[in-house]
Amino acid sequence: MIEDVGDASTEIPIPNVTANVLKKVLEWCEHHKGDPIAANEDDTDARKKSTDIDEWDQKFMQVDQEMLFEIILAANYLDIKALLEVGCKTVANMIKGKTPEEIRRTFNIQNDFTPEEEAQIRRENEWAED
Amino acid sequence: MKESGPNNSHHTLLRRLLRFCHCSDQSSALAQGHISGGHLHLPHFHFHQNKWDQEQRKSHLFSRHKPERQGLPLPDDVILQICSYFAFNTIVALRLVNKQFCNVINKHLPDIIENEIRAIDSHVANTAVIDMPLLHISQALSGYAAICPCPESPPVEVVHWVKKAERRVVPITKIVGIIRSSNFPFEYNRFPKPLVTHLGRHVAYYWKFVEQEFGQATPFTADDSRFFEINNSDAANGLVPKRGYVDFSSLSDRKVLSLGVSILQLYGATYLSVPVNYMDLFEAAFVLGPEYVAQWVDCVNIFLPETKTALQKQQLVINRTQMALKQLGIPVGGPSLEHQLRYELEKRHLMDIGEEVILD
Repeated sequence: MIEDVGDASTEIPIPNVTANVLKKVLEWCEHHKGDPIAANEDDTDARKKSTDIDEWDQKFMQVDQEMLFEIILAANYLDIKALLEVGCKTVANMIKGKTPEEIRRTFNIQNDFTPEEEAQIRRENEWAED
Repeated sequence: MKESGPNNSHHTLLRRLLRFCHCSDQSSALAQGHISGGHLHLPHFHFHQNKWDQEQRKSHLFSRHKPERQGLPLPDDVILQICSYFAFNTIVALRLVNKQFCNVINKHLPDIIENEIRAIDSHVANTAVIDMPLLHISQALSGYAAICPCPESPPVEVVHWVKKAERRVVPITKIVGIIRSSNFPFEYNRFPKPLVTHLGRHVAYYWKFVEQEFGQATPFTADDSRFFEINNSDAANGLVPKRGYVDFSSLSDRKVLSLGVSILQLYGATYLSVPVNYMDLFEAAFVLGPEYVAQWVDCVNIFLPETKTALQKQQLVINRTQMALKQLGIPVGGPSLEHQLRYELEKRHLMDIGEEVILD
């Protein structure tokens, strides 16, 4: 982002990130500044499937859902892959083991399917169910 | 509204409240209140001024002012990344959460499947089986065969699907096993059931199946385990496997075939296996052509109990063929099929030359 701007004196607008969220992002970056850079950008399966989060990150992500989503959005916007990954893993862990209905309740998601649409998806999912 | 005395902080508080009430249409409630002794007394609100800043953050009153969030306010690519931490079956199930999840997953399902296949075993990445309800997905996957008949599906659908798979624009290099969960006990939850890819795992499937079906009385001996040893690269290259002997004499015919054919497929043979029953198998083989029929006969031959005489084996092959033909609705005794069967049987010394194969 800085390279894109060129001139060092130019302000960098971050319209999608509020001060509170940016503070959290900077806190995370500060803590992880010494982390080794991932050698390979491609996700290996082992890494992708793991939802393990280190202890500090777990505590860092112990925020309300609004802040959690703001952090994820900021990480996505600022292209901080490692932070985005931690955020996504956190949400994945919140989803893990829940039924679709429980997931909706957890995140206040409205079921926007018609009964027919839902029935159709259930039929399609049958083959994958135990 | 009554005020007990001049107080700047109270005024500030009042201004805030009035602003809030104006926005949230609570002015009537405010009008019924008064301030005294540093406290604001309202029928519905009771805030001490010192706590005001804290309260205003978490108060449900203010949250009412700001509409409650609905759903995950995340873009599709982030939703997709969240989904990527789950096993294939879970990802598919997540489609039920809401339309956003459903659309994102549907849109990227070919990639999700492909990733899963790649993750399972890159050696046999061009080998996959997708279930029937997902034909549209299989069509989107280049180089993948897509046949997985449900047990309840009529055999004609198997044929239809095989034909459809054959007509694909991208050549199918290999059609490998087909497994249906209701027929087999799947223990590997993270393993997408319709995707049969990793040969080693595949062996494990059938070991598990045999163990569960037959308990301790497994038909395999310790030596027989060599039968299952297979070099993945050899299999992927379609090399002819070594033959082994497995005593299936305790198994029913159907199990012999379904299990036997599936095991055979581990050797990388390019043929179709439908472990629903041997009629389905034959049907598929028949559709695929003479080469597949030959393999089917091979399979029957190999897995017939050694205790059977050659004549008994021959009769079994014929009987099974007849049943398959009847199931297919193909007129039995057709010259081409009869000729082919006879040829295959002769080749394997299962039938004396000159002996008639009668398909009545």
